[in-house]
Amino acid sequence: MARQETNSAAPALPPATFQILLALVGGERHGYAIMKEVAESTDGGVRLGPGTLYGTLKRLLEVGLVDEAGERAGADAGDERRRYYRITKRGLTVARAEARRLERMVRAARQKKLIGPARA
Amino acid sequence: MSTRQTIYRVLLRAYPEEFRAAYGREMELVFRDQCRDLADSAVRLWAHTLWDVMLSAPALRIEAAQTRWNTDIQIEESKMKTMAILAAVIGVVLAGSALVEGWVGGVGNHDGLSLTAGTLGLVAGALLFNAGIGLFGKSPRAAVRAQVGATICLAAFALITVAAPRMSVLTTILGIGFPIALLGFLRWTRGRQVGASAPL
Repeated sequence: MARQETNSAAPALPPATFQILLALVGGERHGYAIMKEVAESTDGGVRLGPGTLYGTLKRLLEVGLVDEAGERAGADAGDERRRYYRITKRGLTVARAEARRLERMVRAARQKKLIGPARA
Repeated sequence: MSTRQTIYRVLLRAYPEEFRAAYGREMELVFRDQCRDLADSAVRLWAHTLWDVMLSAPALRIEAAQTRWNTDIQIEESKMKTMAILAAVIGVVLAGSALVEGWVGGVGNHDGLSLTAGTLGLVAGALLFNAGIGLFGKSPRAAVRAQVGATICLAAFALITVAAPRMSVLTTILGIGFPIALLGFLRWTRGRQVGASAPL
């Protein structure tokens, strides 16, 4: 997980961190739902294990990018209570900045014809 | 509980205790869900799980150790500040008390021993005050300054008590007891190697 400084001076987020924030942009989720969302949105490219997931969530909670949204049972009948997480305003700002950084990198790659034009 | 979950619970021991207390149950639930929705073979799930533990547990253990270290340093610093304030205040009290009890009383009565005891007490109190200020400001030679101050203060009051017991009981107890406590504290903090933050 390389940390690189961008032109905007904001450090690049580790992929797992960005993917978790991205999953939470869609609303409150519990750990397993985040894990599934990340796997689906990356076509299985990023597969978080429980240790990486909760280790990252712990750090995100500490820096205030994510909040706990209480415990409740999942949608499945008989499901146990789980802790839900939600993205904070600061988390949204950081995720947006990272998305813009990635967008700039993709644009640069396109200009150099490293990748083809964006698909409609 | 299935065998898989039992094995995973054992694997969770690789994580720091505080982390396990906060997230262990959630992690077990996630692992249970992974087993239930098993898309891969069991071998791939275990390989992925072991890889995850190997990557995340050491990093979290290092983080936990750093947090504990920082908390310890903060506690040591607050103890150091308390001791510094006590040393400065007791130094002023001792100097004032020695001035009144020994020196001023000695001048009126032309008592040489009282004058000597008063002067010694005054110097010892000033040294203790100086030690407290040194500790509070965390100056580079604070520990040496505090140790020298406390040792001389202790020696001066021991001398006064033995050679010319002219001071009140409270002044004597403070003059002997506090430097001993300060020296013990300095020795204890040096033993705990907190010198990196508070130069001792």
